[in-house]
Amino acid sequence: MTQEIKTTRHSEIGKEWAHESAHLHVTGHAEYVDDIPELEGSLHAALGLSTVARGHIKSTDFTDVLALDGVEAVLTAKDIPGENRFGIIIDDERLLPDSRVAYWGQPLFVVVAQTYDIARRAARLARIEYEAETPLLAAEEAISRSETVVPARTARDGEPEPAIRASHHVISGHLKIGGQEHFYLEGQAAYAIPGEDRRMTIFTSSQHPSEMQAFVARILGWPSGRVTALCRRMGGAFGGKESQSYYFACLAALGAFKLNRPVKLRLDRDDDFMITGKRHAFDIDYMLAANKAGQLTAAVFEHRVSAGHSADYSGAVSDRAMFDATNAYFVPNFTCTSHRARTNIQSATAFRGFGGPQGMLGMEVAMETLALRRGEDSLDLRKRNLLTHGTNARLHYDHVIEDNVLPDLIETLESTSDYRRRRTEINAHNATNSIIKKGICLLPAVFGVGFGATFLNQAGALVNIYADGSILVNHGGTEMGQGLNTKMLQIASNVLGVSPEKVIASTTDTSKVPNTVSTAASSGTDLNGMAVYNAAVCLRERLATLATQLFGGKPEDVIFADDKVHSGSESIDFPALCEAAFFHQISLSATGYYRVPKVGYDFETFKGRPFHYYVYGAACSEVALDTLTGETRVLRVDMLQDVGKSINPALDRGQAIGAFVQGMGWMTTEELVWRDDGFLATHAPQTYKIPTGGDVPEDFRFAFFDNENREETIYKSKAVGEPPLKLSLSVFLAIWDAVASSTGRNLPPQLSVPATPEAILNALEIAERNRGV
Amino acid sequence: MLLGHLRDERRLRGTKEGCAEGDCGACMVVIAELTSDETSVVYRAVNSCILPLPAITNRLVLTVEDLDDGENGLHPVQKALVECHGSQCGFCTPGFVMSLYALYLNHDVYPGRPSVNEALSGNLCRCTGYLPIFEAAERMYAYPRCARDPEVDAARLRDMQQKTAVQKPQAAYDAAAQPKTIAEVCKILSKDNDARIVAGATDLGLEATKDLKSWSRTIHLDDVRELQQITQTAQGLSIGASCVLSEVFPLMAKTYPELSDYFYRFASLSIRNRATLGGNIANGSPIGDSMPVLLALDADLEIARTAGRRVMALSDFYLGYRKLALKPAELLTRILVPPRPEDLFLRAYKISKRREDDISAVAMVIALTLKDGIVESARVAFGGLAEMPRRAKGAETILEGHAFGRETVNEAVASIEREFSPISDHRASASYRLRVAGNLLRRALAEFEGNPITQTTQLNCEVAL
Repeated sequence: MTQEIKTTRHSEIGKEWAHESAHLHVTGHAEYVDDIPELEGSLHAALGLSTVARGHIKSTDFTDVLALDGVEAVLTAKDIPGENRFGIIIDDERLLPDSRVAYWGQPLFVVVAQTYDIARRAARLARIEYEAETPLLAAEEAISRSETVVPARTARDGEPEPAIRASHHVISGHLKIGGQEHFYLEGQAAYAIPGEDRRMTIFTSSQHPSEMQAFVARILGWPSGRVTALCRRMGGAFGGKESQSYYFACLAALGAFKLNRPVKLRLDRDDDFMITGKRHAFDIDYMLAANKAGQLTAAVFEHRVSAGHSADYSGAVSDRAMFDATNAYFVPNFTCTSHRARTNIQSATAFRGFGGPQGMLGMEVAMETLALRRGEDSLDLRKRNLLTHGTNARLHYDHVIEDNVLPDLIETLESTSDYRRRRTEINAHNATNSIIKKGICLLPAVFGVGFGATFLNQAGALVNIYADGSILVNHGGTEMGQGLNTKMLQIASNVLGVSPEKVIASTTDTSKVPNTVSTAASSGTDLNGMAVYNAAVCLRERLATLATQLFGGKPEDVIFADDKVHSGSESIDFPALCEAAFFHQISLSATGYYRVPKVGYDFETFKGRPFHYYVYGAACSEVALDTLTGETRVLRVDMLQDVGKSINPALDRGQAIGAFVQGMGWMTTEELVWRDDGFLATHAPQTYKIPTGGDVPEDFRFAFFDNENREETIYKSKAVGEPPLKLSLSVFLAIWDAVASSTGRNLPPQLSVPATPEAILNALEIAERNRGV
Repeated sequence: MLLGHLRDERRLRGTKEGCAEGDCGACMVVIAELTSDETSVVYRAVNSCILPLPAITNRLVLTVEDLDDGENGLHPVQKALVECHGSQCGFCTPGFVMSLYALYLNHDVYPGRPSVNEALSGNLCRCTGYLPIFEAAERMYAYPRCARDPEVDAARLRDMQQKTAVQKPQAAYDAAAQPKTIAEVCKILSKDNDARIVAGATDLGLEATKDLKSWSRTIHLDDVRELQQITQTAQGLSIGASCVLSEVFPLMAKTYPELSDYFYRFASLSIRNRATLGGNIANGSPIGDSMPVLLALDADLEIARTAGRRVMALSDFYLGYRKLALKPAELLTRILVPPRPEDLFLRAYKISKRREDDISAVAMVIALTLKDGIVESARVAFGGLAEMPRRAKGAETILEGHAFGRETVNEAVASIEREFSPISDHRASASYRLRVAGNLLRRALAEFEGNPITQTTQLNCEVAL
């Protein structure tokens, strides 16, 4: 809990510090796993991948692999000394399969060779015979055959069936949402260095070093204490390096263990696409009911989730989609059934938003459809049904949100984005232009912050002050570009009243801070920030006590500011006080720990408080659509984002805009295509298209909504990583609106995600056909 | 490839590998080289991941490490990125630095967002949403200018050239041959017709990095000056086959401004900085974007062999899927574009999922010459509809001799549907390709008839080329 430190005049909170590594990024000196200078004798690993999507391995022949000059070893499941069964929540994966193949691209064996190039060449020389089976690729088919990774779940609130029967308006429909590749620019990588007396050090590009440590220990059959996992930074992650980095950490470690030499495993981009899981694809059936006045009475959803070959986080992702299934609206009667299909593709995993955006999109498409049916502007429908206060701020899981700012926020954006005037202009444009149509959408988003699994809401930190006054800040979080370390330094600097150059970020290291949770769920700053704060406060108290011993005064009156400490009538330079502490035998190292209060819900009934607090936002997107080709262009975006009281507005703005553009790609150009035999045809940037700069509209207006967190978070800030991604759904819905306008606004467009030119042209054609034109 | 050389041999690890196929830009470096007349120096951002090492002979390679001289602190490009919060995870950042650096060297003052878009069209960033990077591209001009002296670089390059000429006489049968004349290329080809000709390597490079292919002999065209010259005469444009597209396209766009947007959509600037016009043609891909243009403009090809040269129409050059009318030991040397006819109506359209740096689902170029409102000659050329770039000759015949209007266009569209049977793949389905092919003809008609808004880009910024 942030106790108010009244005696700090100094404030680094709210300042726009540059990213702690910015000067390293721009000069090329920032080191990623593959950049670490290799120790002498280091070897390189490459993976042999399955070329069928489902079946059994009949035979393997590695003669040609081993015959290639420079190959040191081929490792298979037999070579794993410890545990081979893995999983994130359920142990339904094998690090390397004994026989069963579950998707095309599954790693089957590891080649260790003298160079990266030799290892890759050799991996292709294996002769593997399979007994192939027809893969299950469609979620619907898998569900009909009861192939699921975890059982279906249903959430229920009120009495939806009678409510629907009594309603004036009932609309229903179906929405297909595709997955999304993370496309972190730095591919998965790990570098394992064996040490004396059964020790292993792993440099890993992972959001979850503690899990890498634990899993490496498991495959080796060692206690975790013998393994150290380190991560200085990742070149992007977005959820893709949360669970799935373990394959690479473990396989590098396996090679290092077997050969007793350092082994690096870094993936070629195509292999990364073929092996690792993506955002979950959803098929959603929706039914939404309202009374004559357009007030929602009931919502019913059925989610069919494609989980891929294993459970991974699919249960939790699907649950989050259910929590978020009514987005920002008050719906008195609700039910949602969620099926989690086991499909023969890469195991879908965490991805920024964690199912939330998919759940929300089902609701928002239903809202557009209902507005179309009622012949009203969808913003009017949204505003009428927005969560407000008291009983009208109750969510289907029986939690009443207490600090809702949505009504205010939406009013503000409606005015600053000039929504009504633009809507009129768009209508006029569409009436007079036959080829290029426009669409617009203004929508709210609400995002609950916290890990669904309550026990994960904890963090640790270790702050060391050295006798010269420099401060090394360690914590359990990982830096993936979000600026977590920068905010941690700001917090330490703020508590101890020292200038930025005195605080130094460190590599995340499981030997410094143990038993950490994944840096995920937007919670990095909330959790680690409080832990760093607690450690820094502890040190501050020790130093304050010393200052009063030296100069008189009371510890609570000591002021830490501007690299000085003031006590009584005297002041001393911060470094001098630290040096004095050493001579006075005072420890200058402290750990900090934090657990999130208040959260907890009943897993069985879906009732309770799964989230600590909520983040609010809204966006308005305007698009142009070419009815001849289906091409679209985003013309303008207005975003209004609540981040609480920002610790660093520059970093928060970067997160918000970056999330929006990332989501915009998912909504428009990023299409994953699997062949009928289960081969992923879009497995590199040549075929899988994330947004380029040219896709970002020149007219992009971002603003913070002035707010502060009512909950006791670090300096009253709020999480920012995931919430703004939801706002990018406005791009899809603006396209939806444009398609509807192109076809007379009488039928809801059958538009799927991503809204590629082809998907749009199909939607236009279906609408034309249904109109009988 | 150069990237491996930088990272593993030179231990310069600021330059990153993001995809090893020239699509993400994390590996961007700037190459300084002499113009074909050797009078001045050009700076081009290129993808080092698919740049064969021989291509840097007698060139300066500038990497992110070259900007940070340690003494004067950060270069304006770097400083601007830091101050505008243009990096998050930082992995793509060195690539952005180098693309922006090339832009900075090529423009003394801020050239505007369209030019920045173009400069960054080959760089992917997954974190920032690009806005802070665009802000940095403007901000970098606000600091005291800190550019290279092209005179000094030119002198250094000339000096390098002289030294290598003395030190390393070209062995004609090197595994990686670097001939200087067309005659030398033909001679090597006549001895070893399996020798692989390497021009820009923007496609070939992927065979090395992805298919792990190697060749017993390669012939690198980087030093064949004859192939890098463009001449404009009364007979039209004569373009050396290994002129890079970033040089060819702006020049062609002067005569054919209607092609600007189409050219902009051809790959990314960094790919256009290496990809050659001849390479695009000789690659024979059915989705190469140059060919519909050149087919519609009735371009001819000049082909050399040891015993002489011949000229043939591009429309006769493709025999089937990646099958060319090139005989053994022949080399495509020049592309000949006839002068612009009077009363030409020309349109070029490319359709892909993403606007920048994507491969066409369908590309169409239409060239009509008109007399008194009647179509005298029609050329309608498509990419992505057949196993090779091809003209829609049936549609052309329907259009000729009539006014360009709704009726003939409908007939021509029907003819296109009969003439082509495209494939379905991850880029688009067959039916989409056919529908769009017809609709593009309709779009051309709408533009011919003066409909002011026929493309989404008309509602937004103009592109620069």
